[in-house]
Amino acid sequence: MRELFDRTVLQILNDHISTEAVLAAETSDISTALWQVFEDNGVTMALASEEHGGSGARWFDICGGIIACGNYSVPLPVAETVFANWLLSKSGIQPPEGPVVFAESDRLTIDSGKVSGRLSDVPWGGSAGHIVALTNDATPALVLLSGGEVQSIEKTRNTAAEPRDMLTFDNACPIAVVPLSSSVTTDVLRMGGALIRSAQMAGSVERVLQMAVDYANERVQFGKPIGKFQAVQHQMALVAEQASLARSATETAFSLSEQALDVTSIAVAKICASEAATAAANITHGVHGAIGFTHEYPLHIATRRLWSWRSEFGSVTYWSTLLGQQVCRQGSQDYWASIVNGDTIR
Amino acid sequence: MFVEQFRYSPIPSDAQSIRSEVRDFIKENLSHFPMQKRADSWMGFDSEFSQKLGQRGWIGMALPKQYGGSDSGAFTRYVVIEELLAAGAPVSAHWFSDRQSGFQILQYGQQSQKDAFLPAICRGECFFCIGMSEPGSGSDLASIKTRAEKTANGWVVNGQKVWTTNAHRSHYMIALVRTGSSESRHGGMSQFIIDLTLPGITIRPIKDLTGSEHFNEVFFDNVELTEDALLGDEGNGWNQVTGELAMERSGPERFLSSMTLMYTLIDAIGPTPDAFQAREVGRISARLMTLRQMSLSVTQLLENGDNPSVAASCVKDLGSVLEQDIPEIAQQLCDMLPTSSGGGEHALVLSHLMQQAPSFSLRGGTREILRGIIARGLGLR
Repeated sequence: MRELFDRTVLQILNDHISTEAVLAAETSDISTALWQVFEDNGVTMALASEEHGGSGARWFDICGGIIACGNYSVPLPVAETVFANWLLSKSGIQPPEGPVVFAESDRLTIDSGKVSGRLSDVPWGGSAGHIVALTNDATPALVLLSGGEVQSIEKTRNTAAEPRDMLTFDNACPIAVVPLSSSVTTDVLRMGGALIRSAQMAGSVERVLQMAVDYANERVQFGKPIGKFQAVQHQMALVAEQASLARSATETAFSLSEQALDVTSIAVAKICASEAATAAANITHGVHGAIGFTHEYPLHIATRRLWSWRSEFGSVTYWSTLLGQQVCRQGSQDYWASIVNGDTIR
Repeated sequence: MFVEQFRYSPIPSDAQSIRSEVRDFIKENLSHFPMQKRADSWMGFDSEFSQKLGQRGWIGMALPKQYGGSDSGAFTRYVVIEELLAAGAPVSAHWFSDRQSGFQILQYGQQSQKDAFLPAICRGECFFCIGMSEPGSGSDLASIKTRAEKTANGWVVNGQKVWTTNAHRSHYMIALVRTGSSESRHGGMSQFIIDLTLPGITIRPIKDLTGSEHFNEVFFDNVELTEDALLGDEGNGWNQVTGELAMERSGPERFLSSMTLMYTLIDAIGPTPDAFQAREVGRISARLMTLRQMSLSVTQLLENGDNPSVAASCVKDLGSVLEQDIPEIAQQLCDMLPTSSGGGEHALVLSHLMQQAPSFSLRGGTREILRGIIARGLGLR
């Protein structure tokens, strides 16, 4: 199913996602018309089970699609909804229509079936139809809430002006409350977020790489395209190497995540993709010179997202510290085996 | 773009099954092998150990059975070599025969050459070195001057090779030399299998900066070769050598050279790292795991018959930068004096790898050469 999704998503992106569409979204809410294209083509239900009306695809199958969404800076919570609908479906809840978003770090309280609390940094939280969250019980439950139940919204946008809203619930009526299934750990929302952001960053790094290659072949200084200068070539090679690291780590994390998300490979992917984001934004801005620093030239559409996404759902420091602590705790005797097995974080 | 070639390529389960055998073998044969020796990684030379591996059938594994190999796929060989490298086993004696010379002979050799060399390579009894660089020809390999002239019964070679790892303890060299003139920069070169005991050959070890002797200068003074020393077609040397270089650039030896230091570092830090130690050990581990996956992807591409030369250059450059970063980061993580003698295990290994590190981005193509290949792959040249 990989090729089908690769092709479908790319077709939608080519037909509908322009620089203008991305910029327009930076000052508006979710475009329902644009959303409908993704939903009508089955992208958002890719990983939901067939009995819930989804495609029952594997994470591997949608990897290229989410990388492509990152490459085009899709101004919609498509990747978030793919993940949320996977989680709902495997928890036995029918995924609703429309965008479903989630917050990673905050938990809601539940009392007599009513839900209260605050969720911060919810992607497109202020205009999404539905929100997925966890309760703060000793054994947390998964909650599905309608956007209509939100009591108040504090609007925030990340560096790329993507909505990251704070939502407050006060005795809200959830659509569903179910215990987490046994293959789901309590950090599932952070892991899912890190997984999709890794793919988006891998795609965005490839975008800025391609833009810089094209620019370096066009821009003439000292009588030749600047891409003919070895100093520029070697900088671009470093971006390509980082793009390869991000791509490989992402493909690995998607391939190893099946019924359960694979925490070690997700940590590795988020580390590698975030570091690639930093290097790629730095070097491609350097190669573009002043034109890349203008609002008119679209490089910033990708680089401002790279600067945002690397900090979301766990930074390099968060995931490397977690990984490094486990490595040291397990000791040198187990180190090589854990590299081979990819199971450092258990 | 070649970036998309890095699909997840797991080791097939039939290839995995050999892993525990290799680990048992290492436990049996290397349990008392000290960390300082393991730190030599694939520069560690022990011909007896190589013969033991040969007896197990773990050299030349991917070669056909009729020549003493086991027709194993590339992934089985990968499992064996990554386990040996991770343990710091002394694999240098047979390394070049196993990695490239055997394949070159299989691919380009005459029947008599295959019969003569391949079974001995597989037994771990026939060691090859690679004669490429010369005093005036390093990165610019096509400018070599060593020449073979045709004679009535074969060839006569004059010239000099340099930086030839293991020449002083190998049986044969596969050398790239000029055999004619050509309009094209890459024409007029051929490969020869040279018996290093022949008259006219002088081999002088060159001490490296640690005082160890791994590489050599090799002089050829009217060395007479028989006709069957020619490997492949006359004039096809450049083409053969570039294929050989692709084999050199993506294996696990390109990111595991500092592995022993990771073990002593983790021991030195202990089970409760501070925030900085945990973060840096985590970052290194993430890069190691990803480079391994990238290296496996290139192995799969080679198996599929694709041309992964740009992807392989990415693995090599990222890998050697990581191998060089590990000693630098390690010396920041624990406040202790690296020692060249005396001192504890970690201090010795750190000092050793810190000093070896410059060679990691020289052998197999410099950073600059690799980045040039990648830039060409991007369409910038």
